[in-house]
Amino acid sequence: MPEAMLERVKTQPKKKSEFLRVLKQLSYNKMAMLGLVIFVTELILVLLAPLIAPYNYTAMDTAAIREAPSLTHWFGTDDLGRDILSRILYGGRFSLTMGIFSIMISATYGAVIGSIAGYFGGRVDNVIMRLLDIIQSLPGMLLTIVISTVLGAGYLNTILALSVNGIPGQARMLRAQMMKNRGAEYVEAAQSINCSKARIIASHLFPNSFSPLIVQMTMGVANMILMASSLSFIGLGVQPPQPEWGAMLSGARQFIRSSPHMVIFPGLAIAITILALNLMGDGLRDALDPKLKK
Amino acid sequence: MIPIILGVAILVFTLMTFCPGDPASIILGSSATEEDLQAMNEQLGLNKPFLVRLGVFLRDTFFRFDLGTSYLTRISIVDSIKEYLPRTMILTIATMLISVTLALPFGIMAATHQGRWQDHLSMVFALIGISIPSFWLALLLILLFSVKLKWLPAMGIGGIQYYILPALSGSLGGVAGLARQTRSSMLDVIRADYITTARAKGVSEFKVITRHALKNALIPIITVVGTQFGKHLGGTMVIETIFGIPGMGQFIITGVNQRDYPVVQSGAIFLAAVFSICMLAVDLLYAAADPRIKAQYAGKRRKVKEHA
Amino acid sequence: MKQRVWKKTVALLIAMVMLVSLTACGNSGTEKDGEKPTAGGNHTTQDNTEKTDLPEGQQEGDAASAGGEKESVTIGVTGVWATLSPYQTTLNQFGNFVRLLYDRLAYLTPEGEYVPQAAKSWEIEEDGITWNVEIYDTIYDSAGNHITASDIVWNLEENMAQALKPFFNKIESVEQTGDYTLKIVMKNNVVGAFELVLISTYAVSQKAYEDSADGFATSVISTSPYKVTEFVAGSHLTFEKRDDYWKTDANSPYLQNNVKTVTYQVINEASQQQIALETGTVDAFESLTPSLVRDFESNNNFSIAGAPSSNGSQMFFSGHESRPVANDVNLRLAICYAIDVEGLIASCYDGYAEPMHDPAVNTLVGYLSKWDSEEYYGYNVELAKQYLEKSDYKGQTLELMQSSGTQGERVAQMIQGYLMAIGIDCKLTILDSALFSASRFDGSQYDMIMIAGGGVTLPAFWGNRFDMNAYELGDGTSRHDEVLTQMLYDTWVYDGFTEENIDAIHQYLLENCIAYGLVNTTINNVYNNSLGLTKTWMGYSGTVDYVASEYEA
Repeated sequence: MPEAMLERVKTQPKKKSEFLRVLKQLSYNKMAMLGLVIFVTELILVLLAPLIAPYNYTAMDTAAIREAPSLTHWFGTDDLGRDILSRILYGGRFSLTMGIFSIMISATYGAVIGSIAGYFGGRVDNVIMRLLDIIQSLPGMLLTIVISTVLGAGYLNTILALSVNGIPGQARMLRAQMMKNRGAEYVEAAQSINCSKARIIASHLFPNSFSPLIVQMTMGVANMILMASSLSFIGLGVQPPQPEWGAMLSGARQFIRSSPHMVIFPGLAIAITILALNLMGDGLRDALDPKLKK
Repeated sequence: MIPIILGVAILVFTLMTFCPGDPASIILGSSATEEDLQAMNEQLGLNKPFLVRLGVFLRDTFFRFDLGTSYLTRISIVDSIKEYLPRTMILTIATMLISVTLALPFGIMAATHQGRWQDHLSMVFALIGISIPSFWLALLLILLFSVKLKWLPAMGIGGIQYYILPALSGSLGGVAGLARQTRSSMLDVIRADYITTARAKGVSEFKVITRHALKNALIPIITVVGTQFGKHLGGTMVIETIFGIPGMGQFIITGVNQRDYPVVQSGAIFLAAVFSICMLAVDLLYAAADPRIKAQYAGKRRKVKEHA
Repeated sequence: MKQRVWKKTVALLIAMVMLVSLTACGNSGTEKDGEKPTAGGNHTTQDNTEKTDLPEGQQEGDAASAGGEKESVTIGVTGVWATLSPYQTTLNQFGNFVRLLYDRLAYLTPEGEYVPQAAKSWEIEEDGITWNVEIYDTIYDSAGNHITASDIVWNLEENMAQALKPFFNKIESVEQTGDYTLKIVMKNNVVGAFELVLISTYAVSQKAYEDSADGFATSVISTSPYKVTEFVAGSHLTFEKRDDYWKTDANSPYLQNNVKTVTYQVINEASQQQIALETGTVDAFESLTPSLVRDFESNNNFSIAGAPSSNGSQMFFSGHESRPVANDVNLRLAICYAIDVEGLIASCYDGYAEPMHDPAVNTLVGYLSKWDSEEYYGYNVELAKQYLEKSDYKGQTLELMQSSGTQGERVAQMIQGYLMAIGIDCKLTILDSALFSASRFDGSQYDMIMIAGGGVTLPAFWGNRFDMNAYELGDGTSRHDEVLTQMLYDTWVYDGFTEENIDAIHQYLLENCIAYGLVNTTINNVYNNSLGLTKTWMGYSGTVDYVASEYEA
């Protein structure tokens, strides 16, 4: 017990400094900062949607159908006369949380599976990896579509369907990290003092394998948002009254000739978000890369 | 590879069984009565227990090599795949070609000008590519190239010109990943001694980059190309739908929507098999790209991969 | 400094992307500005007799053959065009292309007339279920096979065996009685059941079919006036007029063949439909997505021909005991009076629909046209509230089931709004089509269900919806209405199919309010004026038959 305490005391400040270092490194990277600023701004806008949104996002106005952008409706109105700006603000809640939650779920499962495979190795590893192979050899989009069909459309179901698809990638990466670190001295040390396996994985191996996971998760959120919009295109995903960006975009695409604003704004919202997330991811990757430490 | 395909078969079969919905009522349309539906279920063998159906399905697929026929059209699935797969292949290959031709120069330029504006420009361009939903880009490209400039057909199938817009809209998403990988693996080799030696020998810069650096940086790039190829192969449904190309993606999506189980199952197995073959091809390409691997192919492949 | 360059490049790039997208679209915006279509209002079906103003670049080079034969027409269509098999069910069997693919025994006109095609005549025997059919003795297919009664019998039996088209199950037996005569015995004497068989049986040579490797899925040897020259599943289908068609004169204007080459181009993606018309990829589009039609009304290069569809949009009330609406006629009436059908038409259908006056659409054989001028449930909030007051409704949540799809979902959302307005709590259950078709007969899963019910004859429609013995749980919504079922049985036989009996059923449905016919959508056929159409002939399903239509010489 005291050893463990001692160890925690020892690792605590180190972790903090590591975090600070990454943050510092990140702040040098202007592009990453730009991405971060955009993303945080979006999060704030979306959180404050009820305060900023000029209209109720479900309020239909049959007198103002498919109106081009104007002072009363900055982004115009859609085919049922709903304000597009308000819908984009609220839609962000669905799009962003869908991306974030689905990647969190897949990262959690991926991390657990990957850690187990990576730490134990041998037969356990073999079985897990073959199962992951099976999932991965199915095209990701196809798997998501089939799972979505099984679960049915809707916000939560779509998150689940998206996350299943992300698990193998996360698991693989964590496994590789585990394998790299499992022979490290601190692991041997922990083993020598009879630490339980779960504990070694959770409090030693996992934190040390975490940084690539963070990078992958950042990019993963972007990927999930794109995937969700593709699902909407096919008719799955979030259901109509709810304004998810992809659903708005694909629902509006038949009006591209007559009312292009209906297509432009949700598309821009997606594109800017993905760009911001990727900039962040790139920056984090560089910041966490030991090769570029100095 | 065979156990994987078997696993895929079982997985997809099970998933389809859990799909809510009744194939018989879709086949017979809205005017069918209960009796008709039951007769149809009997005909399709859907009233048998799950394990029996799974057994029959696996036996037919793996021992008799019989993929069956579509519930709806009664067309042999092998024939359908023979018709649809080439289109998806052309689309995928065209997509990859565009991806690679865009990404390699960008990646190389970024690496050779590390930290300078060319580097940032290339990377930002690649990132913008990944940020645009492919069907949105597709619509904008159609408006520009088909409606406004009238250069390319907006939809349909025919000659290679019909595949240009679909491939272009599908490729940008992959450019970022590929360019990024090219840049980082080029950076890995570009400061190696043999590059300096080559330069010192007076080899032209172009040759240094293409012959010496790129060749050695190729392995991780090939991995990314391979994975992307597999990804595109199974992810063309959106592009196929928007451009009206009857390919594997549309075939399978229609199957899912109509609960045409044999179509989805066989289609998925087929795509999984093609994907596995792609991965195998990537492994073989490693050997071709890197003589060291050829020599060590017997035992130490994994180690090299990790280094790369 | 470096960072500044950075930011600039990013800003520049983003600006470029936006610019490109804006120029691409800005263009279409200006095009429209000039003549903004007069907004909203009640837009009725237009029979656009717009004079074709100077179809530029039209060169009818070939010495303009007598009736003005058209060289080629390309028609945009939607659907899953996967197979040409005579037994297929994935496509609308009343689509105009079927006529080019196969000769039927008889052809059904939009007026509900049966025109002999391969069959010369048909007669019913005294017993009311036995039919004697005589076919022409001069039928040859494109491979030169002679079609006799045995081919027809085989085709009927094959249809019964494959069981893909439910109305063939109504046949008891088929028998060849001569070289060109056969006898068909039906299971019962429901009006119209035999005629459905008549129009769904194709004259196909058994030998040719059996010699075909894939059962005519990709290539067809047929008796029709056209032959398939190219078929790419899911993409396009091309026909060319045969000069050795067995039937030398069209016995109905609906069966004229005025086009040499006909191409059907499949375009399911709505955004591409408009582009295909504008860029000339297709000359015409069958049943264009309603929201796109408005743009073509203001475009002088195109004409629109509208026709009512043969499928309406109806709301059926569950008859299952567990549901509040099942035995509460006042609640059902309250719901019906709460819905503003005109409002639905204006906002969900962009004006391209007509209110209905019976659960059945007015194109069905047997529909009494006098209903169209009679009173049906109207929009009356006061009355709705009164009925709600009288009902046993205690604030339960009613479920409205709808199959997924942009159009239907919009209608469902509007209805939900109307019900909320009189104080009825309503929840939407939106299911994909596969799940929807599996749940629709189970009245315990919904209170109201939206169905696009249609067909050919009134008895067939009734049989699907109101016959309590049709399904395991009762009628189409799990109801057990013995009175209604007996009325149906009495009416849909040949000697009971009188105006009086039919009207009685209409009145019964009206009073008991177990179904509400909401709107019948208008099928909008948009075509390029450069086609030079002088007269359009419609097919049964409300689409223009461009092959039968007449062109400028």
